[in-house]
Amino acid sequence: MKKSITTLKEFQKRQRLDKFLIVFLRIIIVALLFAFWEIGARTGVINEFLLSKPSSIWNLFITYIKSGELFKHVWISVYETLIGLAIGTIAGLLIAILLYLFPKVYTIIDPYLVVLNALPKTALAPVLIIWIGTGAKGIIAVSVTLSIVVTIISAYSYFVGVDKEKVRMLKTMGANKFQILTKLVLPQNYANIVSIIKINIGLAWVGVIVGEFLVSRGGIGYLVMYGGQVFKLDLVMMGVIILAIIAFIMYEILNILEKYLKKTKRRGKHEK
Amino acid sequence: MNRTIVDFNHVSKKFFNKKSEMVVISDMSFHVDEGEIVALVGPSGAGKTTILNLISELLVPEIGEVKVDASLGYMFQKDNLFDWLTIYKNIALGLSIKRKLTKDDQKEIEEMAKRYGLYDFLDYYPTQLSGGMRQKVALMRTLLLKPSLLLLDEPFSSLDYITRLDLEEEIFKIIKNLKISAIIVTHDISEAIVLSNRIYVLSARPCTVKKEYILNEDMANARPNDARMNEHFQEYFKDIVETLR
Ligand SMILES: Nc1ncnc2c1ncn2[C@@H]1O[C@H](COP(=O)(O)OP(=O)(O)O)[C@@H](O)[C@H]1O
Ligand SMILES: [Mg+2]
Repeated sequence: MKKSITTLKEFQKRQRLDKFLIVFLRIIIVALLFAFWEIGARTGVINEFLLSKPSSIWNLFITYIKSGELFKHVWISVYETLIGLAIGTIAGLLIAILLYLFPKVYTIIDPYLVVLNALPKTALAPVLIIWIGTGAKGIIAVSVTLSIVVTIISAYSYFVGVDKEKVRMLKTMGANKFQILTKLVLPQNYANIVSIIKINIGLAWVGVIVGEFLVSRGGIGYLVMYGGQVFKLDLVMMGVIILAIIAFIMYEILNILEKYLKKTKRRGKHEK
Repeated sequence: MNRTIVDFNHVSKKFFNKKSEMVVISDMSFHVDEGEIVALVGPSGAGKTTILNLISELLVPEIGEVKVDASLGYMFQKDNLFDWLTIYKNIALGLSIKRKLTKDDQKEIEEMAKRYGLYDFLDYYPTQLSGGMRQKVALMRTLLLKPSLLLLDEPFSSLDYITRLDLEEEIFKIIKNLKISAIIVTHDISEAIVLSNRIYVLSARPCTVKKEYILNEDMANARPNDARMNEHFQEYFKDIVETLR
């Protein structure tokens, strides 16, 4: 039988232990994966030519760091992604807000939004790059197209989904549409907006990588593309792994930011 | 004679949808005088909320006339508190829509909160309060706007019975103390009898006045808990049930 917890101290201890175990197991899983990969590649169970192996990826990683190449490529991609993310999310939200204030306009453009949303935006990437240019601008544009439409559609549906009774209450208090937006619709959807941003991080990355595949001058997408073309699979793998790590870091930064904002919001008490 | 503050004059209201129209209120006339508590009793879906929407000009009638000469305060079935605002800010919500809060407003909110036993909870969030306390917060939010006519739309129907009795008692006291008027919409017959001095029993859709009850002086002035014990309570109750059937 499991020993029951009788004090808060014991409870906290148990919680810390559980948390530690979870992190430990997560690390073990990755370590095992890499160990099998390395051993498999050395014993010939895994085709090294197709999959490379952790030790060569690591060596390559060190060379790239030493030459400063890695930092350059990572920075290019991160920069493009952040700008793409910011433009896609902010413009998308602003458009959703405007449509909320003028719902007739939404009704009119609704079918176009649906078509735009269903369209695989990556198909537009070559055209966009021709129009806008092969530099960072073109790549950012591709990134923006991926997130902006879905941001508009989902934010709008969150906005109109707020409790009708609460809207009616604000109206009886004499609130105008803009006040309903700022007092009710936006704060009510705070969590939803954060989740839109989280989804957009992934979409912005897809746009940037696709853009870099197409115009190949720098960035992680360029590394991966180039590695593939010259069959340097350790370069490809390195690019993918770095991509995974950076995407994870961005996600975590947002999580921390969210927690921090929640805390400061809670602290906003009125003085008596 | 007291001044008439709400006057429904042969009012009809329809709702349209793609294929049909629905008459919700049909040729309805009633009035509320200053200082009165008037109850509208009718089955669910009759059109009671629609009547309040007409009074607060969220809707306009197709036929007839709605005259209102009062500043309105609305209380809903749900407390509609905003979870992300403190109790203090929830109370101040209505006022903050009208203008920027002043130091005096803050003082008034604090005093009011003291009176209703909510002072210690001003920095709490709605999820930390019980249903009855939340409804009190909603009431304070409404009262802060200094209405001369309270519109109560089944405001107690989601509360447990004891909380409900207490709040009925409290709201009656408040209305009488502030010398304001009220329209209470309910499907609870006993609530209508104990709170009001006049009752309109409404028919099912399309809604119209079936019968008007003017309660005797004793009942009209008694506090809800006393009115419930009054010898005439049962008579009114039985009569209204018959009318509704
Ligand atoms: N804005 C609206 N559009 C269409 N139908 C409505 C609208 N508001 C209410 N109704 C309909 O009118 C009828 C009366 O509604 P309501 O006044 O809310 O009833 P009650 O408050 O008495 O329960 C209901 O059948 C409801 O579906
Ligand atoms: Mg109703």
